[in-house]
Amino acid sequence: MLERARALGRTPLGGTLRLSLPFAAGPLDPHSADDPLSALIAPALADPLYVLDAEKNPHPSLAAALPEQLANGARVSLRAGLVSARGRALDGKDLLWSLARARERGGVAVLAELPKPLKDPGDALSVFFPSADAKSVAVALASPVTALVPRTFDPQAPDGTGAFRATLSANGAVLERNQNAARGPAFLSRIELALGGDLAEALRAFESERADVGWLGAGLYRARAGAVSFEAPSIGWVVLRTGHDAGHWSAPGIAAQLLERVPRGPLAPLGLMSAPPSAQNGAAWGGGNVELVAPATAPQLIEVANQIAAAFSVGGQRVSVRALSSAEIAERRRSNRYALMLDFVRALGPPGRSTLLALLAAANPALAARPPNASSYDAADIARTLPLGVLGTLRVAGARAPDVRGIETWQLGNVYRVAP
Amino acid sequence: MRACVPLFLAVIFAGPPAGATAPTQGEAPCTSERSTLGGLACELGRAVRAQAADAVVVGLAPTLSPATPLKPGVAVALAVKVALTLGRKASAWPLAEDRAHLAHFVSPRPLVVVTAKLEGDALVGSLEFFAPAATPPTGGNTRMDPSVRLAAKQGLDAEVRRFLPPIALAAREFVRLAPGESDVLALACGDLDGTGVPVVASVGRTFVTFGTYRAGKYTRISRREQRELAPVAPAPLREPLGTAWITPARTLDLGLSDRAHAVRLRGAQAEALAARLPWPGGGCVNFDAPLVSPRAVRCSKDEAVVTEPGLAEPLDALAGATIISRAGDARLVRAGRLASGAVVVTDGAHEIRLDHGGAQLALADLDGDGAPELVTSLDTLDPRADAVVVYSWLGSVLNERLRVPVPAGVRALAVCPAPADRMPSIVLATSEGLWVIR
Repeated sequence: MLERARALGRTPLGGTLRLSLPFAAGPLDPHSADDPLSALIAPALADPLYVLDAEKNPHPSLAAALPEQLANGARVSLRAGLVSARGRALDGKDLLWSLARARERGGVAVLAELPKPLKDPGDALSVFFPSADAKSVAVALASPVTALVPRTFDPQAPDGTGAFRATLSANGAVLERNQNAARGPAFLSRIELALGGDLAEALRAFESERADVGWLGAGLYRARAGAVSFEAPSIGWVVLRTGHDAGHWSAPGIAAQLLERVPRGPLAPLGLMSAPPSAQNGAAWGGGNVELVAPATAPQLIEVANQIAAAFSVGGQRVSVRALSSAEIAERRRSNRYALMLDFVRALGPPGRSTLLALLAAANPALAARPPNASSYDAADIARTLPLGVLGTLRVAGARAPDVRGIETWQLGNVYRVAP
Repeated sequence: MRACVPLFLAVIFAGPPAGATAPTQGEAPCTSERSTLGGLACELGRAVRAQAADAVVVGLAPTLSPATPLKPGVAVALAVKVALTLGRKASAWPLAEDRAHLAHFVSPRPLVVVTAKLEGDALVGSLEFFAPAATPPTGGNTRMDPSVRLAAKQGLDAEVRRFLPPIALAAREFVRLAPGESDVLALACGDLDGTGVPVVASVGRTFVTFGTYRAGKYTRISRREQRELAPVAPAPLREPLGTAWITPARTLDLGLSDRAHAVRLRGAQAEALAARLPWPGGGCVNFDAPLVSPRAVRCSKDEAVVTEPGLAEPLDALAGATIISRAGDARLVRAGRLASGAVVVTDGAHEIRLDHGGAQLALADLDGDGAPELVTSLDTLDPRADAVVVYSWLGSVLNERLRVPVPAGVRALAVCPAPADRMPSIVLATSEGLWVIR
């Protein structure tokens, strides 16, 4: 729930927020760790059981209390009376189902270290983690990729306990206030999400007042009058993977060295924030003519891929960009049949150990089950031992219409308009 | 938020209380009497009604002095109300008498002598019952000692203030009482335990904290955890709100949007109420998410529903209080803030609107003139621009009477019981702790 102003006046209710984002329309899955659109929107649709405060201490959100430490494990109980946006009552079976589903997807990063939970025979709202430490369970279940969803969940018609209920369409989505929201209905009545355009279209929409938020800027040709800049927390990292088809160039650490030679200047307008490269330590691509595959669902990443391809195309070698569908990307990722892949890795929690877990799981989910002790939780440092390199964090930034407030945290339920 | 609450503090039997009688079964408790004089008369009169049904009730004039500025008329007013309590055969003496005259009082009827005096910030009413004289008077003091002597005490209201010097609606001090809780959503102030010492209840998202407020000092006395009082609401509000008030029955009724139901605290006992929020002044409300329904419902199944005065539109802040007129009539006044920021105040017969008010509201009669004051924060999201503003509802206008800047932002406010010689204290919860305007 909102921790900002209580009393004084109250946060204005109602109004519509129009967003135009440079991502293709598609499913919204809270358990996905590789889809930037889901990373941006799904937290408004489904909640995890716990939330972390500024000191990273977990607090109950959908859970009735912090996990109960028992002699042989930890028990987690849901709050009574939870109902999803589409009206489904939620209980322990939904929690078990959600955690199993998350473990098969992005949630594996934070769940791999935990034993699989069991049904609590004595309480329909509880599940039991055998031999688990209560604090570890709470921290894992505070990650957005472990969100609770009903057993009927379908990412094409997403449902959850979040501030909004989503209805997807071919060219976007409409998010409407969820009156059953477990942490409170959104302040806004509605968010209209226009998808399918590129970065230029997103900026043009803001400049021409067809959108209320400018993605990575205040306008394509000129800044919109009255626009106010904002910078929200990053949602994850853009990484370069080196795969089987790269031959020796797929060895761990190579991708990180290759990225050292990519000029950062042209990447900044594309929403990437990264440390300046150190040219001395970098390596030039020497793997021949290859494809750099990137998700077609993220035009922003395609533009980044073009910059990388240009930087890698040296010495008579040609690196060409190929946009693939989400399914093709997933298949290539699973089979390791690619030379170079530009990919997205979602942040699973506040910077720190969750950074390590996210990147390990992105490289190989099995690694997340036994994470090493890291001397640094800097993403670039972690990636030096993995077959992927971190190009930078994907910024959530740009400009907002002057009457749009509360967008700086990108918690869409907390966004409001002062003149709805 | 606080209603103008009658406060019974003591009933003292000087002689054997055998002559005193209990209230008739089925009769409303005296706490339902809302005016100070009505409450005192109820408590005193009922105690002697069996033997004094046809009594003559005489008001004994208080001694006039700077320390006791009560005018003599208060005794007559109390005598009339006691006589009304005794029944149709009783009568009231129309003049305030002194004790010397009483010695010569001749009547075959019982004599009830009532007095009123200020004691601290309360009005103490005393009653002496004299049985009829057995023999005709032959001069001198024919009345023996009273067979019953008792007293009761209540807070002050506008009816009593007619007999007191007027008080100014002015803030002499704005001081911090305590560091306070960080997440207070509602405050209540009143005589919760019958000691006459106001208790401030700070209703936070985690704790309900109690402290006494005596002689300008706040002393924390206890706290309860919210989680032991009510479960978490399945669908709370994103921006929480709460209400609380100390009822005439000396309970603390409180509710938070975070919790599944409101709670009535009676001492250490907690009773789950059948609605989400109490509406100060009487009744409860539920949510019409993301706002509060304006339709009052009963708080528990065994109490009457207080539907009037009603408001029409969903609300995001509530206040209410029983306001006593200078004639002693009680009226429930309610205020609610609409989503637009407008505040509507109504007593059922009339309604008035403040275009923009903050989300912290209280109603009380701060200057003792019998007209309600609306106390609000400002409709701002910038704490530095916040203030407490007091408006008097006079006729068809809301007159701004007082404005105190509160740059820490007002998170909750409540009005404490009225002292005899000045404006009641307004307690505030801010990000910097508990403050008081007095």
